[in-house]
Amino acid sequence: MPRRSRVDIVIDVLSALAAEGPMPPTRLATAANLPYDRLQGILESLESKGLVRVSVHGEGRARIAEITPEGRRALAELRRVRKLLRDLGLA
Amino acid sequence: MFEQALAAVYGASSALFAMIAATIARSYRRLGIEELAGAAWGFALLALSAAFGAAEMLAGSPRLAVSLYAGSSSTAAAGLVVIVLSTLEARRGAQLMVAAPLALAFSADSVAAVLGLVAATTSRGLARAGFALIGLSHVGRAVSVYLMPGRDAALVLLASEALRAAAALAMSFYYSGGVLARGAEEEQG
Repeated sequence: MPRRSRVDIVIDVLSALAAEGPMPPTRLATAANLPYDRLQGILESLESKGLVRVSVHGEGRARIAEITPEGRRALAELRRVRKLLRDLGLA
Repeated sequence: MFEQALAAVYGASSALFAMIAATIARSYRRLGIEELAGAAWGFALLALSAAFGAAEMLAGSPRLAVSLYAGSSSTAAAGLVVIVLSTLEARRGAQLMVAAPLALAFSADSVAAVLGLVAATTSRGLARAGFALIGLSHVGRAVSVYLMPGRDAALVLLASEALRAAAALAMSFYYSGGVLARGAEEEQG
C-alpha cells in the first residue's frame, strides 16, 4: 500500500468521524487505519484547531472524539482540493 | 485583436489560479499542513505570472512589455519551484531531493549570474563593479547548492549572500544619493 500523505491521513480521520459519528480514539484508529500513538498526535493537532472535540464521558472516563462543524467545513474543502493535491503529488 | 484575446485568456487563468490559491490557503489556515502552504504560494505566484502575461499583451510600450515578459517568467519559475519543493517535501524521495537543487542551480542563479556579468560588461563606474559582484554572488549561490549538504555549502552560501547584499546596498546607496541630489538640483534650476 503506498504511503499516505498528511493530507490523506487528515481526510481519513475527519471522514471516519463524519461518517460514523462520535467514537473512542481506539476505534477511530482502526477506522482511519492508523497506529494509536500516531492518531493521538493528529487528534491533538485537530483539536487545537477546533476541528475535532475530545471529551471525557461516564465514570470510566472514556474519551470520545467527535467532529465539529468547523471540522466538517474543513473536510468538505479538503475533498474539493484533493484531486488537485493528488495530481500535484501532495496527497 | 490576437493580443487582446490572449490577454483575456491570461486574465481568466490568473483569476482561476488565484481562486485555487485562496482555497488551498484557507485549508492551510484551518489545518496547518505545510505542503498546503507551498501549493497555495505556488498557485498565487502562477496567478501573478498570468496577470503579468495579460498586462504584457496590452502594454503599449515595448519596454514595459519586455519588463512584464521577464516578470511573468520569473514569477512562473518561482511558483513552480515552490510547488516542486512542496511535492518533494511530501514525498521525501532521495532522487528527487537531488534533482531539486540541480534544477535551482540551472535556473534562477545561473541565469542571474550570467545576466549580472553581462550587465557588468555593458556598464561602467560603480555599476560595473556592483553588477559583477552581484553576478559572482549568484555563481557562489549556485556552487553552494552543489556542495549541499554540509558546512562548506553553508559557508559559501553565507559568503555569497553577504557579497550580494553588500554590492546591492553599495549600488543602491550610491546611485539613490546621486538621483535624489540631481532631482533636487533640477527642482532648484
